[in-house]
Amino acid sequence: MTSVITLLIVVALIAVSLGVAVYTRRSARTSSEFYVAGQNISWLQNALALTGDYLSAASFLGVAGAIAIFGIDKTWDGLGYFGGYIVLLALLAVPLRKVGKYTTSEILTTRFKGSRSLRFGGMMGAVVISTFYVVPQIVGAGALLQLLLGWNFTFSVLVIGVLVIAYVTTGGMRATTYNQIIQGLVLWGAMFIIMILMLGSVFGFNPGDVLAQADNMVPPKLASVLLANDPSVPDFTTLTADQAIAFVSGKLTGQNTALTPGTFAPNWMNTMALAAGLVFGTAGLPHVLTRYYTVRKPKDARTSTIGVLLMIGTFYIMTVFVGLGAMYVLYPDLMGYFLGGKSSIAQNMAVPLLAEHTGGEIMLGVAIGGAFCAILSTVAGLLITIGTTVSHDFYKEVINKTASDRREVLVAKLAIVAMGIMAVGISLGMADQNVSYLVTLAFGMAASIFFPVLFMSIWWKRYTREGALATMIAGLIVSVVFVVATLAEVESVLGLPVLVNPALYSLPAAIVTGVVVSLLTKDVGDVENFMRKAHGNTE
Amino acid sequence: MLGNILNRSNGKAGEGNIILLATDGSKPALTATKRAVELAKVTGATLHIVCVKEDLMRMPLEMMGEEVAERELMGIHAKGGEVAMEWAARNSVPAVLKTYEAGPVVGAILDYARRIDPTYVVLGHAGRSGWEKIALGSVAEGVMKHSPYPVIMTRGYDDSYIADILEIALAKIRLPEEVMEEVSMVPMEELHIGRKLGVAFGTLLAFLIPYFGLGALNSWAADTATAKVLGDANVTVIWVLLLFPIGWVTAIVFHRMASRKEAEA
Repeated sequence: MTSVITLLIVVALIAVSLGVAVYTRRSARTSSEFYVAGQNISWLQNALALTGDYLSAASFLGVAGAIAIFGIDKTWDGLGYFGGYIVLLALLAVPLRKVGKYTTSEILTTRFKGSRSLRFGGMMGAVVISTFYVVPQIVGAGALLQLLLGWNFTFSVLVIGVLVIAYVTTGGMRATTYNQIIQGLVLWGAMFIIMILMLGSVFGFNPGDVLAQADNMVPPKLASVLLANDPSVPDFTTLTADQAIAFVSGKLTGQNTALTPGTFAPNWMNTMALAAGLVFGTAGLPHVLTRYYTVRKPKDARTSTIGVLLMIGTFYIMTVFVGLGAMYVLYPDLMGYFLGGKSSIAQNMAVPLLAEHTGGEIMLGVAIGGAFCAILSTVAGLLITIGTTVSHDFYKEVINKTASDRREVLVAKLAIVAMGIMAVGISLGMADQNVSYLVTLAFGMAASIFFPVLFMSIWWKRYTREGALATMIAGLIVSVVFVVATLAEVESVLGLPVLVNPALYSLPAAIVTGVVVSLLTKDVGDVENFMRKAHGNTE
Repeated sequence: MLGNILNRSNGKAGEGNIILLATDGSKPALTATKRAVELAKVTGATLHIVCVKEDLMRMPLEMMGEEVAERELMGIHAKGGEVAMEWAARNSVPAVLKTYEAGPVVGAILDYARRIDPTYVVLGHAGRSGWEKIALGSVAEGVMKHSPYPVIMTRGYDDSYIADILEIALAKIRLPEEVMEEVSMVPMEELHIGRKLGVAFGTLLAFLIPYFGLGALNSWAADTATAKVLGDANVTVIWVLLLFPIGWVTAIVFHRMASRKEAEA
């Protein structure tokens, strides 16, 4: 359990984050001092806001945390999250902005008008993807509370779940653009400060030394599995980092080091599955598509995306060094947590623990508080998006066209509560998973369910209504089956080996199914008007 | 009732006077619009209408929570002024419209009020309370607090009272399908979809080849991947660190190419 100082910093950071959200909204609406701030949001501000929205618990806790236990193999997460924005930039950002629609259901029904099945498919896809995106955030928050207050994981997750659901349903509030700009800067700045403190206090400001140490370490996740039943294993908490590393290296001679690829994804199928899922997943994430709402002109969609690439690219480069440095600094702790049955802390808490090690209680508070803010913002955004999708895109359009405003809001809130409960339930079974890994599964599903259908709708004139539906169904079924199989640790499904990400099967399955069905059917929707809108020279 | 209100108005009510109506096209604002036009008609005042194109990130659930209601009604947010102008014309009330391109709303309303020195300001109140009020703030309360002019505030709305003006409001909205109809009928060949897709794929490949190349290297050439090339940094580490700048350059080149093509077009 941490000190009062740390706790106060965490509470203060969360209060500031919530306060800024309230204040910016109030002042923007009621105060003339903010007259200039009410002008157009620039591409740079928008890029920072997108960065704040995108950097969730998975990025802040998960990526560096995963590198700290798996080594260089887990840089795939950061690379994939980064590369996803290049796919978005090249293929979708500008056409989506020109069409002016920001949910998959709306985009599809703009081309294939009046299609209830596509609307329903879009809603189901958004719910499934978002649930898998919310789960890691709650797992991360649960592990944070466990570290911060010493509560057990189940109780921590239940508390977080209740708080988040109450926060979203009573306030219906989402962080404003200004708050997200601040969050983006806080998360980026916190990672930068942690890296500098670590380099200064442990590695003499020499990043090369981080790599030199990494080349001597067996990743703790691998080592803990190989040494789990070894009676000669000492109490790691009594050892220094160098002693712990020397002991493990001596026991596991010839094993992968932290700089050897293949510890997490041990063969080409797993590697390519992970790479494909990540790079094509961003373009299908519901809350990322919705953020382009704030971009004013099609051209700004590109410049904002480039700004995001600069911010998150530098962030993920920092996670490489922070993750490898954390592995060295925290080696005895990480081994102790794994072998002592506290995997949930070992999997996700490397960044806060490193912050404490290098910057004391104050930096621990900053790291935990920053992570909480990222979690709250991301979960609130996702839950509200889903509530709206279910109530407006589905309930109002398909079930009850004459529903009153109040009924629509009620349905949205019920959907949020239902999804929140579902996410908390799944989170309870995921305590020992790395949050970045869980997010990669959501990316794999987004890459399979939404990316192919959006890509083909926007670029292929011959794409048909039935083809679009078949694409989503194939992507949904194959990706969900393989994600469940992965989490259930099943080795193969229908003779196909289960991989670390479903995308290697589900993405091609969705594309091939969509192409075949489209070639067999004829209803291409309002293709000419849609294409003129998406690809015309309207600025 | 209106007469009573007028009698409290510093003696300025009557012909030649000015009523300032602030509207955002929402249902409470439509209520205020009807009241303001009634007031102007009774007193023979000129109606000045101020409308601010508020630019705030709000999710649809929040919009619904504000009673701005149906999504299509959001399209009217900036058209509240036009609706008020039409309603004034129908009632033979002289009216002037001022639209601000950006908020904040209270500042814009008071800025315009100082210019025209109105007898009253009329606006609608969404009727929020409790947590919603704390979270979302209130334009009506902001104007009440800061306005040096008397303020008449209508509270909430009654669907039957605003049914007629709501029809005008809905007619002002162009539904997505109608907007699509207005897209200029450029021949499909001139959209150059194939060429644009080629540029997009070229951009993607510039990143995806080294990206998946890293996967191929790690999978099929483990010895090369772990060969040290720069101090303790092996090929994989260097490749990982280079992929980020490759992505930046790719994105910037794509942006410049796309911008040039757009300029030519």
